[in-house]
Amino acid sequence: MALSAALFYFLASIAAASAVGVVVTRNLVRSAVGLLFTLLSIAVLYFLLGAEFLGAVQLMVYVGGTMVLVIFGIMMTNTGPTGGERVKRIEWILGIGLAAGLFIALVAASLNLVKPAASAEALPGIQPIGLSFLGIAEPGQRSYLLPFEIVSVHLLVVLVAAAYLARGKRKAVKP
Amino acid sequence: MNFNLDLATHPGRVFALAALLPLLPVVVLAITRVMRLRWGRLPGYLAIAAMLGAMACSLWGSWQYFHEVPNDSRWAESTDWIRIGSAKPDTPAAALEIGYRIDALTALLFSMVTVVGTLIFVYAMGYLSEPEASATGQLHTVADTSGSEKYSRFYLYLSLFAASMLNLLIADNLFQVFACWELVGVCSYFLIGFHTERPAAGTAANKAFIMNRIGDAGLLIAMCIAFTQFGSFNIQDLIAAFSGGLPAGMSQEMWILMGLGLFLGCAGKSAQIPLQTWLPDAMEGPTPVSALIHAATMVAAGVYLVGRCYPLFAPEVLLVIAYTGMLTAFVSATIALVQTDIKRVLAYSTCSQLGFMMVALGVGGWVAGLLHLLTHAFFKALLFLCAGSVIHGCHHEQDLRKMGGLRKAMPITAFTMLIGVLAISGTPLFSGWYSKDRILSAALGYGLANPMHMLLFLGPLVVAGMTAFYMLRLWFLAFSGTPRDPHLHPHESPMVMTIPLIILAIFSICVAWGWPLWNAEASKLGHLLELAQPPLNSPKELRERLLAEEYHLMAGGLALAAAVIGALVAWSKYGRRAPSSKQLAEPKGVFAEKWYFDRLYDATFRRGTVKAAYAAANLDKSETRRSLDGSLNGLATGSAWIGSRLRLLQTGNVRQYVLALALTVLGLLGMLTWLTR
Amino acid sequence: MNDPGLTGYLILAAFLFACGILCLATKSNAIGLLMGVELILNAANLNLVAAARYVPALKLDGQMFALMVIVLAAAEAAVALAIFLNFYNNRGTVDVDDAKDLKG
Repeated sequence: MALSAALFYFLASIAAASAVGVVVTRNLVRSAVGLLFTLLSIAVLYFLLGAEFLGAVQLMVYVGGTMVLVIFGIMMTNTGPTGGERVKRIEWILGIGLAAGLFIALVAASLNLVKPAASAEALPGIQPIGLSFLGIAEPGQRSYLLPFEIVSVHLLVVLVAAAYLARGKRKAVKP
Repeated sequence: MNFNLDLATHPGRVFALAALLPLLPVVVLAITRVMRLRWGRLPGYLAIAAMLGAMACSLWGSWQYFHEVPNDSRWAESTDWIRIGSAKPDTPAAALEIGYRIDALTALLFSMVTVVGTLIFVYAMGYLSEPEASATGQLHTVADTSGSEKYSRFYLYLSLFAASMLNLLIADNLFQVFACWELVGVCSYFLIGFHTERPAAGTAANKAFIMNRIGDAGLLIAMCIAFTQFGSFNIQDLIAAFSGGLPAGMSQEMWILMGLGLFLGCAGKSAQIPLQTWLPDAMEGPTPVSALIHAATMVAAGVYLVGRCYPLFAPEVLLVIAYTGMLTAFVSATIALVQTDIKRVLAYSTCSQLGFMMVALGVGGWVAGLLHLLTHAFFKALLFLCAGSVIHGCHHEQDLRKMGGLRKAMPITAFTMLIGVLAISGTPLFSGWYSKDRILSAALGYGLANPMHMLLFLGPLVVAGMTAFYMLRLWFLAFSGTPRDPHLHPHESPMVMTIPLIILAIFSICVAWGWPLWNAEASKLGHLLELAQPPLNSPKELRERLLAEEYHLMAGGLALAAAVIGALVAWSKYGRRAPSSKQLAEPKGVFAEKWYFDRLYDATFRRGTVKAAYAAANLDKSETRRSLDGSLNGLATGSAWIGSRLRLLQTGNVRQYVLALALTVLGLLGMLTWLTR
Repeated sequence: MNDPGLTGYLILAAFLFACGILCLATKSNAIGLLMGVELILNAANLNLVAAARYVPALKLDGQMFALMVIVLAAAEAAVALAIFLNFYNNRGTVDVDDAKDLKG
């Protein structure tokens, strides 16, 4: 559809521009904002693709959770607005070269793929996803009960670990 | 075990018993030395008793042998000692054997060794009671602490030597010969270096042993060739294989090589050129040792082996033997002309006489050479023992220039030494005359049959003249005239030393007698030896032998003339009036420098070996990087250097690690893309 | 305009990936590094979901995979921030260039 194509290009340009903004700016808060917009556009892209559940999760977890964490981290570590840039020019050149190289390699790989058409039916919605998490899957589909449980335990462990790691031991700031 | 020797069916066993008897004192003395018992002079008595027993056995055995028809089943036995491999369809199983075989040569030599050995053992009892100076003038600096320790060590080695020598003589295969050969060399090493407090003695012992070993390499090569070709070390088997010239399947070069190897071993043992330089230095040992080992027996082993393996030599090799012998005889005689040490003169004389024997064996005078071996043993032992008596009586003085007029102080020694000197010079009716006469006639016969090799007669003739000269010079310088050194207070030796001298003198006169007495060909010993003579191989040899017999008188006459000339020159220079100061000066020149052989060997072999030894030792030192140790250290240092350089990659900088990761991913992607395109 | 198709999404994801690498390579602040990591993860997620859409055989797998990645990325961000806070407490800075204790 023309609308979906136009939407895609619009969102893609926002995401790309925000990503470039993340990289280029020296101000840490500004790069955080750029990241925020990138994540937002990606979430909308998910909606565009038909993965509504995933888009919602992206918004909730990434935008609402991870970005908040990042902002908290920026505030708490308090490096000042400049961020203390000490990156040498050579590293910029090397980095850009490598990134460009990787980009070209990936694009070349993508362009060489067989171009499939979009499937007529929509992506599975929230009900099949939820049911497969519970172990009830339609015949022909597999259930994702085990990954669900593993991830749950993983999150619990991470919770405990993060709480331990970041316990209050506020010493005087070493110069 | 059945100790019944069963001498009725195997009378040869008495010789084996006699050969093993001297081992008894060896064992006893070894045990007492380990237990550090002090037995005074008892070791000597024990050794003498063993040798007397051996002598009795050997004389009885020889008596039995010569009254019988030779029969190998009664006089030879052998048994397998180590079996090698197993019998295959086409080759029988090989084995290393131990055995004995008695024939006329063995019986005669065996008796000679036991008789001379016993006499020398007795003599040594008296000799060991007083210390002596070395030939280079080094006196004792350390007092003789325990005299009895000397006795037990001396007789231990001497008995071991006697046992090995006797076993060598009765051995019937080359392997046993080689084992006893080495044993004899080892005993010689121990005995030359007997005075352990003198460095010169140790060096001389080393020299003797090493030169012997060089010769033994040749002997080993010959043995290996023999074994590879014929599968057996047994001498009789080898002789049978060679009867009738070159055996099938063996090339001429191999035959010559085998003969040369065998001769090299004998040259090492019998001090022929080029391995002759050890014998004069071996005079560092006590005089009884010089008499027994380096005059009568061990050096005779080389000649014995040549005689025993005579059919194994190619005609070319026999020629080489003859020329080597002649060359040695000549060179040694010229050196002996100018020597001033009484034992050195006798040492070079031994070399020279051994050369004579080799010449005889080379030109086909088998009986002549081995007869000379027998007679030489007696008069050379006599001469050495007399020299020992002189040294003993002059309180360890060995320089001839300081002696003189000892005839009055030591009459018995003087008289017996004169007999020895006359015997070695070839005076008619003395034992040496019979053998020398035969040698020279064999050489003349050979020279007449092959005029190209006439030198093989003329050389020994000249040497005979020189022998007479230097031996009489020795006698005149020592015994005649007036004493030249007033501080020398000579005295006659005790009876334990002079009685062997007298007995040996009697033997030196009459051991080779036969009837009629004035006929050199009629020697009884010669006839006995002819029983063991190897058969003629070719008409050429027969012709040589017939010529030798025909011109026998001429050769004898020429020899006598040469000896008389030499004696007259000696008498005129040294006997008629006191020797002038010029004659008593330090000798110089080629003869005194022993024809520069020692210097040559020193510059080439000794220095080279020492350099190689130092280079090998340097491999172990770690100071230089060229050494093994240094290169290993360098390896470790190099690894450490590489590690320290690689360490720089670990910067701890996260961003650089990220870049490295990205680079790796890029590389992998590229590879994957390229591989799956 | 024509449909971008799978290729368009893949190219976008590649661009985001490259930006993420560049961000990792050039930020000296630890939080900056974390942002780079988030960019990379999102790029991968986009790849997965686009593939799920355009390749019917994948059915549920694409979304599930992406879901797992989101959850794990969140967990990782939490732990990373905890580590950075610890680091800040010990050294007073989150500058990655100061973390040179592993220098060989």
